[in-house]
Amino acid sequence: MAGDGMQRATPGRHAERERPVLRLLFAAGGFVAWAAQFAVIYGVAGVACARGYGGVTLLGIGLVPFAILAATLLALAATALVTLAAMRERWRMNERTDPADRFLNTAALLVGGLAAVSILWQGLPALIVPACQ
Amino acid sequence: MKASPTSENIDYPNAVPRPPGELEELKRIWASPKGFAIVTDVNNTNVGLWYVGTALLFFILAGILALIMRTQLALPESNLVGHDFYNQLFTMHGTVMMFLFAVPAVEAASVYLLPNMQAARDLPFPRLSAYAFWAYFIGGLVFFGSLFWGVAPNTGWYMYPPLTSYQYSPGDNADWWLLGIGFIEISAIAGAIEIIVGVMKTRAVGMSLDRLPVYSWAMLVFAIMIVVGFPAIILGTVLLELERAFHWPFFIAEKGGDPLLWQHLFWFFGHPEVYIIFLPATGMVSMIVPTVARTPLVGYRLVVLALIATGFLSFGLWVHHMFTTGLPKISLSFFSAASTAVAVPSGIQVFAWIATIAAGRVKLTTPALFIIGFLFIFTAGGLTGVMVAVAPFDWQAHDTYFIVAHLHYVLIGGMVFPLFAAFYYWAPVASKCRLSERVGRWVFGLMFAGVNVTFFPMHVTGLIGMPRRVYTYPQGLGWDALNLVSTAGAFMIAAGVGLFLFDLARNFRMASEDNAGNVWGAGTLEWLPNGDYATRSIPTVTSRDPLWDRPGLSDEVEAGRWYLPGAPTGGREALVTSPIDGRPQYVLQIPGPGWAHVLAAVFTAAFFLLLTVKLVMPSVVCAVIAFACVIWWLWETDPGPTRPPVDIGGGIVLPVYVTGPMNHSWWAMIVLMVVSGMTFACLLFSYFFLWLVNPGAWPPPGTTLPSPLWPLLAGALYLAGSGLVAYASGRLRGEDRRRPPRAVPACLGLAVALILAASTADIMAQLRSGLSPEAHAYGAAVYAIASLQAFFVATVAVMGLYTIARWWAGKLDSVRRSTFDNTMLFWHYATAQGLTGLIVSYGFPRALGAG
Amino acid sequence: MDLGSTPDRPAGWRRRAAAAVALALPLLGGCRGVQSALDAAGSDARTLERLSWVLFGGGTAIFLLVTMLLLYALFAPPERRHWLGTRRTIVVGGLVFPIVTLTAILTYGLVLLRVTNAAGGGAPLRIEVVGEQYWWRVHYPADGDAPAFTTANEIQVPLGRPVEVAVTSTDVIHSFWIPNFAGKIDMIPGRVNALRFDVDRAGIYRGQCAEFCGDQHALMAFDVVALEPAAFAAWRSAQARPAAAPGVPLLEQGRLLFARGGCGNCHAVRGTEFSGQLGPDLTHVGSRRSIGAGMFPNNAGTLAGWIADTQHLKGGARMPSYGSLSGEELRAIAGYLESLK
Repeated sequence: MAGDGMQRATPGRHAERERPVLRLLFAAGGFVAWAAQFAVIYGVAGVACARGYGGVTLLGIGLVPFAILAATLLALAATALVTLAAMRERWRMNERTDPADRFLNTAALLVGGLAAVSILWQGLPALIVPACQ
Repeated sequence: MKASPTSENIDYPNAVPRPPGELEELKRIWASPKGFAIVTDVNNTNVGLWYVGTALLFFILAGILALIMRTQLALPESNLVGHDFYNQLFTMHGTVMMFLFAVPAVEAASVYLLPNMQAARDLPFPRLSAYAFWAYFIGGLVFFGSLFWGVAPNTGWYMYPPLTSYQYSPGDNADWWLLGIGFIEISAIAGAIEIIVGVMKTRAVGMSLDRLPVYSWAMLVFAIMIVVGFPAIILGTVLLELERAFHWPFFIAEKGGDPLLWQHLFWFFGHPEVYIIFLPATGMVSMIVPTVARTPLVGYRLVVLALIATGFLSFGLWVHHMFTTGLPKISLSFFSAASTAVAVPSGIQVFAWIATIAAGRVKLTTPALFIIGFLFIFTAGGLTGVMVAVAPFDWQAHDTYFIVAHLHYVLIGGMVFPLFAAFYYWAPVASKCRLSERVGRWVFGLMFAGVNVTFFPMHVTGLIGMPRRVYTYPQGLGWDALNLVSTAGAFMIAAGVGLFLFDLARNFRMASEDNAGNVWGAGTLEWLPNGDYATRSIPTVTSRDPLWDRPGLSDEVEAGRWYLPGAPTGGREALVTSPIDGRPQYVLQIPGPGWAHVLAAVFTAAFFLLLTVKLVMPSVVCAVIAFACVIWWLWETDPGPTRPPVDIGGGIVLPVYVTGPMNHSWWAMIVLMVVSGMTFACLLFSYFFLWLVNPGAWPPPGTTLPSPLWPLLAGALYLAGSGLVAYASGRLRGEDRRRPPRAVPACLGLAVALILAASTADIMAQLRSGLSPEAHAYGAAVYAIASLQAFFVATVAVMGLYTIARWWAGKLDSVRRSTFDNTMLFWHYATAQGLTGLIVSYGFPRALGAG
Repeated sequence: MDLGSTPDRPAGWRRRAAAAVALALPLLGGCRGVQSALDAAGSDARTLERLSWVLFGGGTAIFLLVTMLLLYALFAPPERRHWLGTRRTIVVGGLVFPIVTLTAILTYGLVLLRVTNAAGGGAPLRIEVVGEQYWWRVHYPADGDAPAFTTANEIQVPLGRPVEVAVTSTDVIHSFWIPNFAGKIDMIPGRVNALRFDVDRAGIYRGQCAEFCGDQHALMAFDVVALEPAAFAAWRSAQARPAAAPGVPLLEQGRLLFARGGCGNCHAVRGTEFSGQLGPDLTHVGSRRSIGAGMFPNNAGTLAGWIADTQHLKGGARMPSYGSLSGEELRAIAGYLESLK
């Protein structure tokens, strides 16, 4: 009997497909990329300086600036991907689109923009500050 | 959002008049216990107010400590208090303000406000918030009492070792901090879990994410930040207590430890902490500004963006408290960049409020004055914040009175002023009378002037050389006059707070149904008519300011026209909605008053406090009693589908019990796993950090690594245990509820044995190899990983046995299986953590070429 | 370093800015001082001071702007303030403006991070300082022909030559800070940190511990003297000499009491049998400006009071009070110590 009740709980059944955690993470995607970039550059600089790899060079630039620039570019690319995906989703929307969907989409775009600035700022030290001093 | 009168607005889900006796039954079910039994109450309206009141008490107590300090510093070379008492004063002032006032105050306010704002009957785990309150109330008062015995912590609220370790702080003072605060952090995490699930799952119908009050957004980000940030400090306190009690040298340089490890762990929590305090306050501001300006918030989406951005960026700032520790400049610059970036979201919010004020028409009521004061003071504090984000400037400003000025501008401006605005603004919800507007202006005037008179001069005092945390200073360095002015200002603030207390005593009378009502003409749901049961019926929400867009809503709600106007299950219940769209999912039966959680809180507090004063046996007894109370408390949860689905109106028939990702406790378990995962991640960070500062000594020469067979054995046992639990889960499916298979308890029992064996094998292997946890940081780190895992294994074993007991008592079957599902989730988590720990402790040294 | 090489301009800048702020706030009159970040006596400190004024100026301007907008939003007639009440305000004021200004500040800050506390300008004079609860152990390693020596609670530096202070601690964390010369650097057990700066104005300054280090953190200061190179060389060679033997009977009696009291177990006086390493080196204690780590001016009276009553004057310091000594004995010991110039 209770099983029947569960079956009839249609509003709930629908909502189970909301996948809220994934969608919220997507909306915050740009900052997830920022966090990954931050962890990588902090870790690489920490290990390289503590273990005396500060002078190692790769392709003519120091290991540390190289890692920072690479991580910055990768994070920017990831942010761009999320933002592009959100824009594509945006084009498919119309006046019947659920406002919550529209809201999450806008959030993803706004986050993408602000996160891109943060990621660029995070990479800026590579151009100015010497590694491991 | 514009009001959209559609046809839907005419069809109410429930017909009026409501059946006779429905309202009476609702009142009876939600009535608070009378007399002394009131302490067993769990209703958020009562618990929330006690909670706010206690936080206010600690604000006043810590403020009195500040006044004593300011009096001592009024004149140079003063002898009012000695160095020992002064050091306790500043430590306790910071600790109490941060841990016993600021974080609890914002959690408390949300226990009270959040359900009302979302038109929920209560939070999803009312006993958990009551537990968090009682633990905080008892633990906090005893902790504060340590001051009267002269054994209060005296080494700063940031507790830097080695000063706080056993060599330089042999007394109990540091233990009071580590155990007392560690315990209160656990209470904060309990509150955060409640808030996350509350925001995600218990909202008005149709309150989708785009219609969520900004305050709910702020509390969601706040709670997630606690869940991510607090584990670092909990792990830090555990490691420091292990060092103090058992001499495991995590922070002792000559034994391979590093004092900077503590600073990383502390500030990874400590900096987000500032935003943890600040975000709920901005949430309040974003609710109050539209009301006082009489217009919807301008830039809702940008404000939500700002909240999310702050939540992330604030985790990239922690080293800006360590700019002078001699880290490589490149490392400092990352934190400089993130510290700069975090200013942007604050700017967004400030301009959103200014735009809203410009768009509307502000009446200068007391809440409005506090908001304006907040904008001035916080902007000034934010600008000095950008200054100290510039590392070279911070080299001068760090640990001087400049920082004292900065942090009080941001914390008083950013948190205390919004909180006072909130007191004046929301008092009419909780009280028969509103607070006095006339007195309120004086309170504001005194506090605003006082804050500026006290703290503005400190910017100068600091830059002309006065360091922080000094109990006295010599005459003639140019600091004398400035300090005297600051002291005068401190007493102005005190006068303002005193006047506020007078106002409170005169006008605040706790009320539920007979509250003063919507005196400001606000637009959000906490201003619906309400009683102990919150709102009579739960409305459908079609905009962000429902009361503005639908002027008749209050009457409709009170008449019972909207959803769930009665108590169809015959007990307390809440409507659970879907996280994104706010669609009704099921009717949650929530527990009422009870003793179990109160006693559990009392004995948990007793356990920690007795342990602090080294009364080991009594503390163990209390731990056992607390544990029994928790089991008693849990035993009443997971009621199963006690009755057929109920009709909440409008043809919506909802089950009273669900399992899986729709279930509220499933969400709580996921959050708890995030807390656990962060704790473990911080421990792995500590392990690798210590490796980094010990080149060539990881493990130290002469260490024998255990045979690789041991970790392989332990890993196999972990996997087998998880496999058995997964198999049991498969057997616990199907429509036939009457005959839950015996295989379920059998598999669980065997799995308990396997996971205990796995953890034992791990620890045995290290012990047999002769590794000592006291000799070197390597051993301490290895045993810390194994010990944390053993703690999780013990927890999982208890959960397994508890689940078997549920089966035994006939409370577990293929439908009623939330308990089993939660146990299984945590089990798999413990297996994953165990395997990771094995790979690190056994694999990493081998990968480095040792052994 | 380059930024600080033209001392006239920044000083003028500072004076003008100081004058402007002083008009608004009479409290700022006391910026000059022996322990003030706003009275720079070296190129790094001057760079940081200029940075401070730039940040103050910019911060004040932004604060005034926000304040004016807020007041305008509150009090301007609705039709006049209408333009402010839109999302454009947030985008311009809360996004575009901060991003532009913060990019500038961040870049400026990173450039200064690169050039301050940096090596350069020739071989530095090295000084090793160890923080102890609650005093400073100061060691000058051999420098060319000049021999090494140890002193305490006082640092002297020559003008015009880079100085590198290497700091660490043997007990808890302290922080080494001479605000007139440079920012601060923490002294952390197990780590050696370095602070590089130069000094270009002779004078007497003061440094203080800036990281809470226990009971008497407040009373852990030291004297700093910046000298012309020749005067510094003279001081240095005087410090490196062993202590002079006492020439008067009273002082000789003081030396005997010093020995009998066991003072030499903790204190070293080079050239005598006293070689304790726990407390400050007293070889030339009489030449120092103050006693008790910056607490009192140095003379026979304060020395005697200190010996008799250490724990009352600075409770928690490692040195016990010698209250059982008679006034005469105290005078003798204090006289002996004062004679150690």
